[in-house]
Amino acid sequence: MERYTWRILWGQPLRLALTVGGVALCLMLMFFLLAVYRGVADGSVEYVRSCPADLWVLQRNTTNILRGSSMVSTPQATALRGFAGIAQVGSVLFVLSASGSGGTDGTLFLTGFEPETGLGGPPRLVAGVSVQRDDEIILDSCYAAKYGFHVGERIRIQDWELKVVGLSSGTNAFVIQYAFVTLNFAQRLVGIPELATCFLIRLREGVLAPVMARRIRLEVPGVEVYDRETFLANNIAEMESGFLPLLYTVAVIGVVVLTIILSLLLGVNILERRRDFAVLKILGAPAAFQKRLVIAQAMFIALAACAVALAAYFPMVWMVERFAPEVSTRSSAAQIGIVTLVAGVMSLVAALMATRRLRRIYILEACL
Amino acid sequence: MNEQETDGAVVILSRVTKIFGAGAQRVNALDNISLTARAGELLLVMGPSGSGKTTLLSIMAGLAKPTEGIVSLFGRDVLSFSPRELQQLRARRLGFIFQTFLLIDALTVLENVSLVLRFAGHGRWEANRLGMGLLAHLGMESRARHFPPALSQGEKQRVAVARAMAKETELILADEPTGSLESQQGFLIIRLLRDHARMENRCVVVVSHDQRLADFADRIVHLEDGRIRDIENGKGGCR
Repeated sequence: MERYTWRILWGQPLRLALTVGGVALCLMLMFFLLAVYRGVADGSVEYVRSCPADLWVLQRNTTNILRGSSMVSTPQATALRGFAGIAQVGSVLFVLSASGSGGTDGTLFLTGFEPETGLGGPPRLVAGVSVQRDDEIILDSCYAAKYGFHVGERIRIQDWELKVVGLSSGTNAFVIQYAFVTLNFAQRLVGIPELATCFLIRLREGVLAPVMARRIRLEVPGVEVYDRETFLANNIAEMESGFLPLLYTVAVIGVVVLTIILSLLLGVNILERRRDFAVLKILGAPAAFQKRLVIAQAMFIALAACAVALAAYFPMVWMVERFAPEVSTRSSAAQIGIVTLVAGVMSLVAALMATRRLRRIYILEACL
Repeated sequence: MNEQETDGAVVILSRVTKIFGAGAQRVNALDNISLTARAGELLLVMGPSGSGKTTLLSIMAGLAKPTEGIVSLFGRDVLSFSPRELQQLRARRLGFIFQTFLLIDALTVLENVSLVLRFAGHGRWEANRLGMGLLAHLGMESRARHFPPALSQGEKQRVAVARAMAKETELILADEPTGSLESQQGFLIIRLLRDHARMENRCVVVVSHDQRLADFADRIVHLEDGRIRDIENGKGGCR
């Protein structure tokens, strides 16, 4: 049966190549979507995940930093520093800001932090040093690659020119990249001294985060306090709520379209071989045997397409990341497994849809 | 003229009529046919083109349903078989030989033969072994790995015969099995079928307008305009 399947498919090499190529392209799209999703998911929350804070303090009713607007004032941080059990408090101010140099304009998620505490600063530096002065900036390495910035060069942030002193990683949130400046500079940029988005708190050893969070809520009016895990979960949920529906929609449309196309192609193969199927019926081939012939064709196409998609996928990712560094992808064996499984299920469904045509092949057609 | 004796009967046709079309297009392909084909005999159905030979064969095999009358196959009304029972009947007890051979071009000669053995319930290895043995018997061993398009007409027909005889077939239905063969090849095929009927006590029904086959038949049915004109005893392959 396998030989028959193979010979039938190989009998039309161009069609086989187009079919496998088409399916492989769709599978590559799925691989890529999953990898981008993983890259975005990880990149969007990497800053929060890497931050060494035990507690995050934000304005009440703000749950995350991705799509939340929080305003607190730095005197509150001063009050927090007086709490027994708190080792360190860092104020952070997030500002979306236009940036550019030499005709290239972009947007940065400026993160103003206090260099003396380091809390809220870049998770990792891949080049240069951290900011110490108000006229210095650390850029995300993907942003720097995209716009061609290097350590030592200058970048315009609205009306100011800052010197790039370092490049960070883990700060690419796909649609926007983080950049790090002093809190002073960020406050000057928005024109409101004492403004901050949140406070990051490190606790002394032995102090329980839930206990301190309860105390802060009671004693500091108008704020919400999250422990590290809760705040990370909030940000992940926020990211997924914005991105996953799009991903699912594209993936579902891709799978449905591919299933239908594959089913039609298998149907055409059946119709072209209807004499063979009629002969098989005369010879007493069980219906299951005839279906297996079609399913075997579909599975062969799916397997070949998976192999082609995998072979072409990694060079494609390399190309994409070379020409669009802000597109961060992360691939894993689990993703490959999922897409291969989807391809298998999709092929099975397409084959079963196509086998309905077998019922309309009549035995006497063999004699025509 | 009709006949109806049931001893050793494999197929019994009782007052079978087959009509195609309706109104002005109506054609009586078979008209009130009663006929019995028995185990151990080679029954030859002869008649000119359009006399209803192929329709008769299709109805005997359960491939087509009669408009009227009863077709009994292996002692059971063919209309009472479920689709699955008919499939199993074709897989295990019926063999077909067609003028156009109906070999599957994408399968080798051996695969064409062993496939029916697989349908009859043999395992792959056993099917290949039996298939190869049969091909050797028919002098086709050296062509076992070849594909049908590479065979001559005579070779194709021998493969078709091998395929029909491969399983424990109780009834072989052959439609113009020698139609496209030169005489020596034709005689070889009809001898094989006659021997199969005699030695294995099987029933072989051959539809043909080739007069040379009359010498090999046990009985000869002459069809004309969908009716049996005459049934005569053949020479049974005395020559």
